[in-house]
Amino acid sequence: MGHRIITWRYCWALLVGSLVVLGLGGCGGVLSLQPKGPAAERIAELWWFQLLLALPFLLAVIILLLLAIRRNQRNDDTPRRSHGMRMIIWGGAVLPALAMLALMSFMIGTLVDVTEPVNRAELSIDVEGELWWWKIGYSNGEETIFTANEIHIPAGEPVALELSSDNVIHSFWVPELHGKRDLIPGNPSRFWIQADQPGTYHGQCAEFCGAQHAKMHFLVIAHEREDFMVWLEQERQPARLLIEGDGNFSGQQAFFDTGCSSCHTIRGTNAAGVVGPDLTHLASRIDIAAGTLSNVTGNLSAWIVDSQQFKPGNLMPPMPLQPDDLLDITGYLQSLS
Amino acid sequence: MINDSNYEKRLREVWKIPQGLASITAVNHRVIGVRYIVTAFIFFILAGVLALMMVLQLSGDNNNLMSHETYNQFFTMHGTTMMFLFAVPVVEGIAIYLVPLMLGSRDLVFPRLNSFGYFVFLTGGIVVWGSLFLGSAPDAGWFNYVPLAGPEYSPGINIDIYTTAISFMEIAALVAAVELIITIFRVRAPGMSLSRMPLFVWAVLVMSFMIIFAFPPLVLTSIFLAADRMIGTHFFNVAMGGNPLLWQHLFWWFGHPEVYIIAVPAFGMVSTIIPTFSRRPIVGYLIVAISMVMIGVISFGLWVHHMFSSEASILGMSLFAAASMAIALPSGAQVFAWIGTIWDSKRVEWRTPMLWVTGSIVLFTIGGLTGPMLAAIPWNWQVHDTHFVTAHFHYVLVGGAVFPIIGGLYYWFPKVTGRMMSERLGKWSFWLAFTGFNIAFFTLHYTGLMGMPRRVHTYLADQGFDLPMQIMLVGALIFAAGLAITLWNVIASLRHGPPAGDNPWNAPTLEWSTTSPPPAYNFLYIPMVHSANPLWDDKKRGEEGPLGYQTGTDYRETLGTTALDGIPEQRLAVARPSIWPLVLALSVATVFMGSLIDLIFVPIGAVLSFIALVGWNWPGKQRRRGL
Ligand code: HEC
Ligand SMILES: [Cu+2]
Repeated sequence: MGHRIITWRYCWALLVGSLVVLGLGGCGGVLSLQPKGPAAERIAELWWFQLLLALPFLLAVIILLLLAIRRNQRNDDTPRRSHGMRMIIWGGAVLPALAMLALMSFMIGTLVDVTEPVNRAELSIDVEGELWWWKIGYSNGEETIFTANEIHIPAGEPVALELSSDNVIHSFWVPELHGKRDLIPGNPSRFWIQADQPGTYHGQCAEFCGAQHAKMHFLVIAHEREDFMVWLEQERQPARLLIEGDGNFSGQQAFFDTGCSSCHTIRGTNAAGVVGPDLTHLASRIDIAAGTLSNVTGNLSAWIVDSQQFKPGNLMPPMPLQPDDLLDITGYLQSLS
Repeated sequence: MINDSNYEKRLREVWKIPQGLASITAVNHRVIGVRYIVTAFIFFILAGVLALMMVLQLSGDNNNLMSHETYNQFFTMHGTTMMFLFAVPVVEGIAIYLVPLMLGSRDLVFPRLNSFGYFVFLTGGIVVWGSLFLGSAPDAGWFNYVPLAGPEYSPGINIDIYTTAISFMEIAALVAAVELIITIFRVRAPGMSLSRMPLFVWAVLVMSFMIIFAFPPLVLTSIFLAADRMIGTHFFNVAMGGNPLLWQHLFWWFGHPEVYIIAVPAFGMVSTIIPTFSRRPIVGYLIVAISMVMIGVISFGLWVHHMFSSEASILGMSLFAAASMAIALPSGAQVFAWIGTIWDSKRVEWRTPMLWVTGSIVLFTIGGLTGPMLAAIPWNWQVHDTHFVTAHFHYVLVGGAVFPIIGGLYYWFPKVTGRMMSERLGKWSFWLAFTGFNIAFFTLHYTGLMGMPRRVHTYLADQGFDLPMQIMLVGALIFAAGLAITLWNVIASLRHGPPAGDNPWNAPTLEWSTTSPPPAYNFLYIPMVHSANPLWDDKKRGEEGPLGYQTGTDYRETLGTTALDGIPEQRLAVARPSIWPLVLALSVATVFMGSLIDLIFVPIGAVLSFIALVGWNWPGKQRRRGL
């Protein structure tokens, strides 16, 4: 008989415990359930719907089990009607079949809502998965300009994304805006996102892609339409090729001389490497190295000298620079806004 | 009629299990079964330690406990070990041990093949784990997606270990499946028609067929990848027209059924243990048996739900979504058959095995309910590859399979060793494990919803995962403590457990009709069966005692019966102990593992294998007669 007491008291403890855990979790940002765009919103609705379908089953199982335990602890020998078969039929067939039908129909509706808006998108952005950063391209038909790890979009409208990868599989995911879509070599695909309000939304690679999969973040930055146009115009401007006597001229030269230009592009100069991110407007970015470090002077120069320390295995080798070269390069890069 | 004591002596003589050094040649199914189970549990402990270390690494942002290389090898090895070196071998080991006993047979039909399978599994496991200690274990995930696992992005030996070891070890799974199927169809006790077969045996039958259909594509695709890596073919090379999606399709064709290959035998254990302690036959025997078959069939139509975020055809995906939801029906039917059995019982005995399987019902229900959610495509896009999925399948696989397996351990330990395990420790172990498991893995649903992807070795300070991951760590430690108590219980009870007697639980199936531990020949007389619960029903009719068939004692022999009705049909000769299975296993290992060092080992191993096969089949003194 001791069991019964343990069982009930334990059940309460477990219930309270899980509510505490839920509460704690609820304080942090539960991004998937805090939608900031229509697609994520539909998906979150689907979640609440299916949770509503699922909970009665869980409760039924737990309550029936507890009742069954109590029932046969009564220890009387009077013959009783058998209910087992009826439980199988209702609990194992009829009700779940109805629930699945409901879920399926709700799901199809959601599926249409979260895929169809791509056709209404006016703006289309290229997103390429790199090892281990994101290459973002804006094309105006003639020329494509690139930036890295930041996707600027106009708020309030669907924006199409052309996803591709020429290395390994990555997965594009901004939980507050939409679900995931994989970037599979040889299988480019078209996806879309929409943010209802201007703001910054965190995204991350979600398919294991090797050494620094964990440090492959990006940001989606939504602006009002006009602000976005201003940003895009600004982004299109190449950097100014500095000449002898200009402020950061020595930094620019050191950038060429120490080999940075073999991997990085700075439009408007001779630096045209394509291994690493385009640095034309580096100074305007919030983070560097795909969310690994914030873009401030100390981090920037530390990264340049020994990026392996922050993101071991990434494709930028340590650059043993003279202290004044480093100073000059950092200053030069910080002027590229 | 031979004199009884003489008959017993001669049986003992012919079925004698070689002792000492010669025990390496033993082929008796109980010896091999125990070897499988013990080895698999050792791998379980090793992989569990990896898991704890990973959780420790994740318990703070930007933690530096281990490098990304180590972490990536750890999570790959955790998954690979749990799936290939623990879950499948342990259920096969339990099946190898129990099936002949439950069927009233003296052995499996191919004991040497059985022993060969074990040695293959063992060598494969040792090579894979050896590679971890040398720091070059597979590191592209247990799913091993290309191109990451291809020659360009993983040039080291790590992935070669994966491809060769996996295809090699699948040989073990396949031979076990073949011999289990044939055993189940050929040597059931007289009178045991299919409709009287214990549900655990039904489960093993379903599992074995699933293995036969699921594993060859995995072997095939591993060979494709090995070819890409070693001899420069282009199956998955995009630049040359290959396609990485091919890997995903072939892998998940195997990978999804794999989950049920593990879960179905565990269901079978639940369906065995619950009726015993409920003191009544299971409610809906036929429904439960059919449900398992249906799960086996439907599970081959679900694989695309692992690829929803890579595919783009909405219609195609929706069909797979519907199939994925449909599998909830046979699973649900079983859950309610279990609950119904407890409900309809007059008096349930809450012994330790019963606790573990009842706990498993709750956990499996939670995992089973997040399953259809993951089949809902848009929701899948949101939580795919996050901790939400990790939580889901740990509820299904640990809750739905490991808990029943541990329940089974408590249940059958007395039969295997002749000693009871401690009830007190068993209950402590259960409650700790149940609590710890829920704390650890319920939390993972949360981190998943918060946006935490799987397979990351660290995360950013402002993502807010620190606290939940610390809760997870606490839960994981409690869970581990619970399991450690069971380990202690096993070790202590081996020596000090009170003697069990033949049938300590008063269970209805045939394995309990013989002594604990059973003699080398299992049953003095091959029993006759009149119902699905022979020991209960025979008792009612007062038919206890030596009623059954004698077998010949000139060589190892068991009784062959017809596939459907179990009508005696023939005297089946069964193989004697032999060293050749070991030799063959090592020779085949030379082919596979040697190819990692130099391709010259492939022909060498092939020649050795040929020699071993000749030795294996060499006619011995004692001519084998299949009468
Ligand atoms: C061998 C190629 C290579 C060379 C040479 C190289 N880089 Fe990089 N660099 C990269 C790669 C690849 C990344 C992206 C690393 C990541 O985020 O994983 C990168 C990232 C950066 C970033 C961060 C950009 C961002 O937006 O996140 C800066 C700044 C940078 N490099 C500066 C330099 C400077 C300055 C030099 C010369 C001293 C240099 N790099 C030399 C390959 C190179
Ligand atoms: Cu990635």
